[in-house]
Amino acid sequence: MSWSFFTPASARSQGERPALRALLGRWLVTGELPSAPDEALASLLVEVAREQGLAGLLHQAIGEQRVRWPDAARLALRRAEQEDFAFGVRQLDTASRVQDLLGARGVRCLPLKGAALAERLYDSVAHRPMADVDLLVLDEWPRAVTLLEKAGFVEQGQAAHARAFLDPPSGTVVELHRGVTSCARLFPLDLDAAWRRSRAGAGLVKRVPSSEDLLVHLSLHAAFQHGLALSLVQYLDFRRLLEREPPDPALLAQVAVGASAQGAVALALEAAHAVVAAPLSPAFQELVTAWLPSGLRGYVASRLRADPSALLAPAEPALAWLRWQLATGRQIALIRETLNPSLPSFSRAAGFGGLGRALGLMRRWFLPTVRSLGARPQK
Amino acid sequence: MASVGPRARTSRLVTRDLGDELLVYDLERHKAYCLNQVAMQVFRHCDGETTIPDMALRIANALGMPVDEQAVRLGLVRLEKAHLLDSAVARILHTSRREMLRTLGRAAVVVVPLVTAITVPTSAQAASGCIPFGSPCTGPGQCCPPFSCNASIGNPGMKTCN
Repeated sequence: MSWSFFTPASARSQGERPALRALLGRWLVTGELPSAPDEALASLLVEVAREQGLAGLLHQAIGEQRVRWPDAARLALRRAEQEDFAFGVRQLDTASRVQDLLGARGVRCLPLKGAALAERLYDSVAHRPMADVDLLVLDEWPRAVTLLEKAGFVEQGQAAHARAFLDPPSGTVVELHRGVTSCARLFPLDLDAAWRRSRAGAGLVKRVPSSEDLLVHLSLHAAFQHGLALSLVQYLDFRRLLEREPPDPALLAQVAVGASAQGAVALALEAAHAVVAAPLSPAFQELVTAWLPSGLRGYVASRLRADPSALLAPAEPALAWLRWQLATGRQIALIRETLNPSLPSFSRAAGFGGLGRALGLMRRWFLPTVRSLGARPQK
Repeated sequence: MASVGPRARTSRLVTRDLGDELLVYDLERHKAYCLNQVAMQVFRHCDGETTIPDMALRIANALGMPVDEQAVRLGLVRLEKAHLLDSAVARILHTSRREMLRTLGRAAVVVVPLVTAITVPTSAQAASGCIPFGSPCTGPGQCCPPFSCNASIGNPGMKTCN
């Protein structure tokens, strides 16, 4: 495992955060806590642990293993865990309120990512911090938006597949999704089936997606939306899901094939295996082998497995190239979706005319995609 | 029948036991607190049945250190102030808070029950300096994970975190 190269000493000589991220990655894989011989290094590790969403877990591990860490760093981790707990509960309570608000008017929604898994895969919400809560709307998108606005939520920004709203009283941000990723029509989700497979949540969140749907959502988000540039805790989500609520391979296959997400699932599982040693049973290994697009096999073998730390956020991924590969066989649709991402009834910013939009999207996606095809990542 | 001892709130609270402290989030008031070991023990023994003398005895046994009734009373006052008790404890307490503190001042510092408010950050603060979703950015590495700095859909000339 390439993580074993990193030690506190090498972290210091290489300077800075990438090596410290790798140290934390090695801890997740081997269980061996990074030692922090002095306050400066410990303080940096705390910062990077927070950036990677691991402060609470690190605080717990240091307490359990009785590792000697400088007091100031331990205190910083304790405070981080306290804040992450308080903020996490507040965020999930907001998610729950939105589920109630929409549900009472017949608009179903399911949580995505952190909100869908913090209470079921982690011992504490403090161990799975989130920047915001994501909810996938299953019915009547415009109505959901209107209901949120009427309830006092204030729009903060929008992308092709989601709109972000601030809840002023709680200071939390709800990202209302109508697709898991941009270019959502490339990955058609059977929302009614997802609702039927969903189950009641065990904590604040009222209803959560099935393990199979959750894995497909996480994979699309990781591979297609972010080109695998995730934080360590987001990679840990995959491992926890496979360890604690393993999806049924046959049902997973059904969901992934239905959403045309096989490539994304295979790539995300390969990455999670490389980064945090997510366990792949023989059945999952078989799916990954069958589903990985041929154009990505070299990338996985020589780049992803060789240097998993290069994937960690805030890495800049070869996003356009990866999207092109994941859309193998549907590349015309990818271009079409990229140039015209807005689904019907999605409001657009004023003054954003058709020609301007086309030129803007050409500049944003089409040209980088074409350029990146000529300069794809070295294998 | 009226309860003889104080009773802790059980509804609309989310708790997390960290071993040496208890984190409590009040979903009614949206406040979070950190209870130290003594306060945690007082909170846990507030079952409506246990009297203050019994509570002091049990907590002392649980912690393996002397805990007197005054410490328990102070804990109750602090828990009540944080709205973590179901009923007012004034009728149970016959000592002023100042008197309790004065008495406790003569005891070991370690038995003082602490109920500390936790500052709950907002989304932007939680993201610790990174640029949140939808806000303008100029280059890589600035956006809060998992967002990246891309041309804005609404305004292709401007970059935002999305």
